[in-house]
Amino acid sequence: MARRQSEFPRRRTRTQVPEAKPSLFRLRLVWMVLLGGCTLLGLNLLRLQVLQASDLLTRAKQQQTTLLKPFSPRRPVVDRNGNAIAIDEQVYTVFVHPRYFDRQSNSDVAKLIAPLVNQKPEDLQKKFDASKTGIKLTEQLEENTAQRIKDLRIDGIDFIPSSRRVYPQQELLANIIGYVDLQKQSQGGIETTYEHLLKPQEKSVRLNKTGGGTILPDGVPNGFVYQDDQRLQLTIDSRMQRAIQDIVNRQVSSFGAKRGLVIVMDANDGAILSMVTNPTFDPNEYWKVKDLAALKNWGLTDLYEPGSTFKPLNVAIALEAGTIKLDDYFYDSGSLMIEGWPINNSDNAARGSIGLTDIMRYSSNVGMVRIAQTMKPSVYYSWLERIGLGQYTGVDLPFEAQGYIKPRQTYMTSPIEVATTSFGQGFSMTPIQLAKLHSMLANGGKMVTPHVVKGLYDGQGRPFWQPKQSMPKQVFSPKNTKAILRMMEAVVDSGTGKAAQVPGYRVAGKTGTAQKATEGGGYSTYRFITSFVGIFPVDNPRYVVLSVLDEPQGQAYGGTTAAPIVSEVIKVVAGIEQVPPSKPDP
Amino acid sequence: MVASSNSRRAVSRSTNFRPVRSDRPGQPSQALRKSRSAAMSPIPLKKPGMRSVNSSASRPTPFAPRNSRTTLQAMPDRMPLPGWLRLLKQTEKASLMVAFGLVSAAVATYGWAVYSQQLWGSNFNRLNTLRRDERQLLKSSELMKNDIARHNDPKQYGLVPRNAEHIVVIPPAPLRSALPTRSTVDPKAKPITPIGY
Repeated sequence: MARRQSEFPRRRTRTQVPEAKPSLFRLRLVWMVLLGGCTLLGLNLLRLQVLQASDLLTRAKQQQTTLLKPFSPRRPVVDRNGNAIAIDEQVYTVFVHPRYFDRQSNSDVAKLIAPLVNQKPEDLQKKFDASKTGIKLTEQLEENTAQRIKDLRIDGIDFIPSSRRVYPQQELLANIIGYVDLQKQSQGGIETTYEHLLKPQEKSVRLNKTGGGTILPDGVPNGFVYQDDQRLQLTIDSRMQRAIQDIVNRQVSSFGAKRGLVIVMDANDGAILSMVTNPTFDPNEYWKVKDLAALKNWGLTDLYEPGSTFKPLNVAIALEAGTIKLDDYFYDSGSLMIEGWPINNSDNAARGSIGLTDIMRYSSNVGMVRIAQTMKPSVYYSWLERIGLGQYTGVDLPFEAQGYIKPRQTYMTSPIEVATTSFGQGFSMTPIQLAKLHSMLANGGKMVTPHVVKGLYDGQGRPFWQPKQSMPKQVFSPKNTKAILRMMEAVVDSGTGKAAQVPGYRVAGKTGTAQKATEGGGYSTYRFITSFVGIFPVDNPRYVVLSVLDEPQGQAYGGTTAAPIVSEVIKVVAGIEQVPPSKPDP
Repeated sequence: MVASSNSRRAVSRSTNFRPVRSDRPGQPSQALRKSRSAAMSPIPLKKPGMRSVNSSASRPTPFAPRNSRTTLQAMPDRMPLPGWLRLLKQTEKASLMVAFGLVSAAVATYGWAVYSQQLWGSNFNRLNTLRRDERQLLKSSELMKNDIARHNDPKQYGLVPRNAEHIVVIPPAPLRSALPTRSTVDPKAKPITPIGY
């Protein structure tokens, strides 16, 4: 209390502050400062929101968003057993910008990178010193190596991703699968035919990202991350293909032939199990091909005259037309003159009156002319058209050539056309078409469409899409085809095709040795196409094996060059397909 | 403050000054004496014109005389609050709880949103890595198969190309005569004739 009282005098002595007088100048000054500030702020707002708006917006988007584009590979292609024969991998094109090497010198970076890109450090350093930006370091760099370079954490290295098609089996299936070039354009084979199924759907989405670079998944569309595991499955068996390729390559070189091929077809549905052509190429390095002919699958792009391999079909036509019977006999005089043109048997032998089986067994040209002459030319021509001569086979591979047959009028007016056609000359077809025609003899007369694609399957083997096969047209009657197979079996047992015999299996077959047509017209006397078509097993016919050699050297016949190939191929096919040994007819 | 305020309020306030009384037992302190005289004085404590600072400093604390017979009266209950106010207070409490819940939920949601996005980002990277590994594994295994088949002698791995000679054919066993079928009906059992009830 005493302390309080002592405060009183001090309070009383407090000085009085004179009141400030209002100043108009000061008011105006403050007002102007405030107004000026507001105006400046407004102007800045105008600059940011109106004048520079679009530019700023673009820059903000650049900083805050990222284009997310996950690697979407082209669908893989697998063989019948699921072995991958075409797969996509991600590769990078690498650009270097030495300007941004902040911490390291050019020589340091060159030393670090050189072993990864298989270049000399000195060369790299020269490149880095020459330019400050935009140096293309390498192309087609594999993912692993790219990751190792990324792990070095060097600033100023730019990775541009792209995809590359890899064919692990190299040239094994090149003629069937074709290739995809560096511009991602499919070139030939099923890469072209099934482009719509193989081509990936490029997905990309613009997303926000944080300052740290983490992607914010807001706005990722449904199913964006999902990638299906579907792959295109072929009917080709790559083991069979490999074994047959060895056989073909060996025989082509041993006979000095220009080229060779083997087609193995399942006659039940037209599925091609193997199709080997020589020469061929490595689709991984298609640019190294020197002979451009190697790029094509001549089993379907090139026409040839089938020769005697067409004889069984002529017999079938005559049987179906009803102009001959199975037990008919024909007079083989060894040679004939038609319209002034001589027609001889290949061995010039005259066998007298012989049955259908012997005509086939000895491949009698005269006998075949006699058979063809039993039909009216118009009926014969209609049959040729009906079995598809002069047409496409419909195989699911690109660049198929259309067969050639002379116009109907020519057949009606000149008997020589009918005569030459009866032993397989004067018209042309692709090897695949011959295999298709012979599959009719194997499957009881149904015309199936050859194909190499089984369908699109997912990882668990469930079918997603399968090619629609039309109902096969019944062309020949099973009774006649069965009889013709027995005739063809005689060819292998005791005729011109003995070299095609396989122990344990009943093989039907027919040799073919056709003279090649020359550029100047007529036929060459020394250039042949030899072929052999085999069907096995005769007791339960299912597989058609066609072997063709182009211009084998020396005294080459179908029975001596192509038939041994078919014999070897049948052993392989029987082993892989586990065909039980044949039984005699009951 | 005016003298008329020497009322129940002043008395109740005086109870707050209890420590004053414990100065010395038996002898009222100076303050107490002053307050007694003030309480008994009919003159108003505050004279007009007195400065409030001084008056408050010198004003004696009103205190009921110890000997007086006046008793302390209990404060009446607070007036019951009007219904609308009670409702308002309850609403306030409830909304406070709701607000607290909402804020916690918002914090949790925000945290989850940020975390889940990071989780998505890291899992997406992982998925891409796995896909890359799968592709490379597939490619390597196919290249290896091709390499073995092409460049090496398959026989050194104990492999031979499959051939017709490798087929083992097991001839089917001759047809056995059919086993006599055993009747499932017990011949001794009497047939039950259904009876309707």
